[in-house]
Amino acid sequence: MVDIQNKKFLSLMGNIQGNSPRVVFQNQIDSNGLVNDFIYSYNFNGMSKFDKVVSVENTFGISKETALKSTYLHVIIQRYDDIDLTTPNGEYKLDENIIESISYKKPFIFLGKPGYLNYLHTIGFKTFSDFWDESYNSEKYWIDSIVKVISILKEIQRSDINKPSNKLRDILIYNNEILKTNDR
Amino acid sequence: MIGSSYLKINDTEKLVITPDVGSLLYFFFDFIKSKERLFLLFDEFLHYIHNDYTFVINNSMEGWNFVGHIEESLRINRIDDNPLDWILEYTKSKNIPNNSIQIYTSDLNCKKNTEKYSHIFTPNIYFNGFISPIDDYDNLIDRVFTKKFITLNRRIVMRDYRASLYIFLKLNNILKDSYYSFNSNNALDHYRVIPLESNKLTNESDFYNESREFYKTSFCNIVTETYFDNMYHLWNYDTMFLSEKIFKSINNCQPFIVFARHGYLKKLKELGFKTFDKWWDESYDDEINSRERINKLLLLIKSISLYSIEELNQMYKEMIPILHHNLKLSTYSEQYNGYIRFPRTNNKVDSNIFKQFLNGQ
Repeated sequence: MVDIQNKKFLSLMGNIQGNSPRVVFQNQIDSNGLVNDFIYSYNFNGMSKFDKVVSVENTFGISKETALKSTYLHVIIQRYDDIDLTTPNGEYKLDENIIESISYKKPFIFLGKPGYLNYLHTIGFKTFSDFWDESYNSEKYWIDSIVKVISILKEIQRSDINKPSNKLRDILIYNNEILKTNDR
Repeated sequence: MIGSSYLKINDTEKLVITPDVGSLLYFFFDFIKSKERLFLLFDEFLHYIHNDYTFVINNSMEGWNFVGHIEESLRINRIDDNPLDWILEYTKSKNIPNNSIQIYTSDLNCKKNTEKYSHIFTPNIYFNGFISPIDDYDNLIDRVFTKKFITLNRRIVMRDYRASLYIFLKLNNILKDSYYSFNSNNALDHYRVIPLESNKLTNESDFYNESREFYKTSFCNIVTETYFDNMYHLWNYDTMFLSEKIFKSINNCQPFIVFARHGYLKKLKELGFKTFDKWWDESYDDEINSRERINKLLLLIKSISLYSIEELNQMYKEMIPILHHNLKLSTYSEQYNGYIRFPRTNNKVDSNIFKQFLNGQ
C-alpha cells in the first residue's frame, strides 16, 4: 500500500507503447522530482519482455474512483495527432478523460492537440488560465508543451493545494453544470 | 541502396565483399528480386569460394535483428519467402561449406538473434573506420572547454529517449552548456528541427561533416545510440549495435555517457574499451527497465552539469590515459576479444551480375 495522502497529481495513461508524449512525460516526472507526487497508471503492450500493466489498484492500492477524487490535478496525455478527438466530419469532440475530470470537479492539464482548450471554450467550458499558463496548448510541438507542463507542475508542487481558491472551485462547479447540459 | 558493381577483395583473409547493401530486405527483394537471381550472383563468385574465399554480403551499416525483421515481414505479408533459406539451399546444392557465404552485420548479438542461421552471420566492428583520430590526440592536456556536453540527435522519430533528453536539458538549463542537435534529419513535422549550431546537418550525407572543433571544446559526449529498448520493432529486438555515435566520442577522445540498451557499457568493456566509472556512477548500464535507465541517465547528466568548466577540465586531464587507450584500440586493433574489425581490403573486382541488376535488368 502506497501512502496517497500527499499525492497531488493523477495521470491515467492507458497504453504507452509507441505513444511518445506519454513515454517522455513519464521520464520527465521521474527525472524532475515529480513522481512521488503522482498517482499514475499505464500499460505497455509492446513486444518487450518487460511488457506490463501498472494499474492504480495494484500500484497504489486504491480504486480508480478514489484516485480521481483524491488528487488535486489531472494530467491528460493524448497524441498530438489523435484522430479519436475528431468526428468523421473533422469536428472536435469531447475527450473522455476530460469528461471524467469535469465529472469529478478536478482541474486538468491537457497534453494533446494544440488549440484543443480553445475548442472547450467554444462549447462553453472554462479552463485554468487564471491559475497557470495555458500556452502549453498553443505549442506546435509536443516536446515544447511538455517543457511548459513540467514547469507548471513543479510550480504547483511547491504550492499549498489544501487551500484551493474560491475562483477555482467556482470554475469546477460551473464546468460540471455545463457538462450535465452538454449533449455531446 | 547499392551504388557500385565493385566487390572488394581481401586476399589475406580470403574475402569477397559486396558493397554495403543497406536494408537486407531491400537487397534481397528489390535489388536481387528472386532466389534464381541470387544464385546467379553466387555462381559468378563460385570460383572464389572453391579457392577457400568467403563471399560476404556486407550489411554492416545496420545492426538489425534480421530474423526478427523477416518474421515481422512474413507476418504482415510483405514477403512470402525467407531469403536466408535461399543461402542455405545454395551452399547445400553446390556442396560448399555452409559458412562460405556470410552476412556481415553490426548486431553484436547476431549469433544469439539469428538462431538456426547463426552460422551465416558474422558480427563486426564497423563504424570505427569511418572517423579519423582527432588531430590533437598528443595534446589533449591542452584542451580548453567552452561547453560541458555535446549530443547529436539527427532523428527523434521512434527514439523517445532523445526527446526526453532534450526536454530534460531544456528544463534544467543545461542546453546553454551544450552543443546539440535534435531532429536535424526531419522525418516528421511535429518535432522541432534543431540543427547543430552553425552546422546544418539536414541530410543523410552530412552525417560526418560536423566540425571537429565541437568535440575539442566540449567535455563529455552524451551518446544517444540508435537503439534503446524493444519498444518499436522486431527488427531491432535484443540487438547490440555500436553505431558511428560511440566512435565519434572515442575517436575524438571524449568521455561518454550512453543512452543505449542495458549492457552496452559491459559490451564495450568486453571488447577492450574502458569507461568512466572512476568518475561517475555507470550503474545505469545495469538497469534493465528502460524508464529507470533513462531516469538514472538524466540524473547523472544533471550531476555532471553541476561541475564548473574548470573542474571538468581537471577531471578530463585525469581521464587522458583512458581516452588514449580507447582511441588506440578503436583505430589500430583488428580484433576485439573475438569480434573482428571490418576487414581492410586490397583489391576489387567488377561484378557483371551486379552491373546488370544496377542497370535494372
